[in-house]
Amino acid sequence: MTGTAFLQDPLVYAIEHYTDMVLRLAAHYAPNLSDAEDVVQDVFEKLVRFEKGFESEEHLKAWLIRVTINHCHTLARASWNSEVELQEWLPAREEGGQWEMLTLVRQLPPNYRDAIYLHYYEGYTAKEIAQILHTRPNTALTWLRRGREALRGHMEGDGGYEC
Amino acid sequence: MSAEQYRNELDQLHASPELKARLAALQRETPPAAKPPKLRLAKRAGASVVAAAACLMLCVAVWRGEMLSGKGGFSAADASSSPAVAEYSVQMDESMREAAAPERGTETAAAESTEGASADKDSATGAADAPAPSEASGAEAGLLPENAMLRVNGELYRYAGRQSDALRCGMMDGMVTAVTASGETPTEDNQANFGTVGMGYQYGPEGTVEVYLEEADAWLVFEAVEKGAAQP
Repeated sequence: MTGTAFLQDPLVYAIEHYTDMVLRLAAHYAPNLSDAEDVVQDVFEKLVRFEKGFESEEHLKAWLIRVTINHCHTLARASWNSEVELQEWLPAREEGGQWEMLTLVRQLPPNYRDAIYLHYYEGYTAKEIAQILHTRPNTALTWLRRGREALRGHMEGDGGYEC
Repeated sequence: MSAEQYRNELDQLHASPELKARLAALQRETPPAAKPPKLRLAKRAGASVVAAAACLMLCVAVWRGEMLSGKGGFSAADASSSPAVAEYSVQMDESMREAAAPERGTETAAAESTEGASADKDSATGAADAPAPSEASGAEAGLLPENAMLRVNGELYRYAGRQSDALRCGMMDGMVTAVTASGETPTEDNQANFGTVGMGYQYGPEGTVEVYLEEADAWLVFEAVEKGAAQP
């Protein structure tokens, strides 16, 4: 399904193309794999109920990112209190390493986390991140810069960063 | 460690077979082709129309109930079909009634000239003349003794032996706050020699006061005994 074909059934298209993306985003927040998968299911259920339709494939993707982030923020505030080490619930990496970077990113404040993921993994620019997260480009740039600084601080061993 | 490592780690995160099965189930539960937004909107609009119609019917039912409980001189069916009803309703609004009192004749004429009002003209104009409450039937007349009185704004009012069938709002102009013995003359404002404390009243047309007697569900007309007092 390519081009505008996804408009005929956004759910099928999204499940086929964006399930992993939603799961990866959820993995930045969820305390365990089960909760992350629940987030994925919740997001796609919201997609089923979404009635407005999508203008483009990019619109659909941005919608999924936005809804996933919002849902994770809500659940993180409401019920995700117990944090479990990533290594305990994520599958072992194929190369045998640890989930070091993801573990570090997960320790960032939510906004920094979102910006880092969207920029370094999805490849969005600060302007696009601002549009997805409903903020100003300068704010998105600040989140990116502070997120980077915090990660650098972690990797250099000082362990601290400004929130 | 770098952005590259971050990407590599995330690349290895994939949906488990269990999750895929859950999403497939979700997909099966959903109709294969989503309904076009237009249809959904139309459906919602239809629901809104139905809801609005239900509200309208409820309002009409309530209004009919008021008509019937008010022992109106014409049926609800007549009222709903008669343009004169608008005139009648306006007439019954308390503030409008006061403001329109000197022009009552012209309003009546307007009601009479309204197209389609001919069938109800008599009753409607009679209603428009509600300032002169309809004469009570024999059954209605004996609700209170003849010497039932009430003092409002320094003026003494006596039971006129009839009921008012005017439509009215639920806002009382005052309330009986004291009751003297039957046969005694009330000496203070909001004092009556009948009924109970808490009875509400409204100013009626032509210097009358109309008291609501809850047990009879009736508005009883009281006429001024002492002429010359200021009518509010």
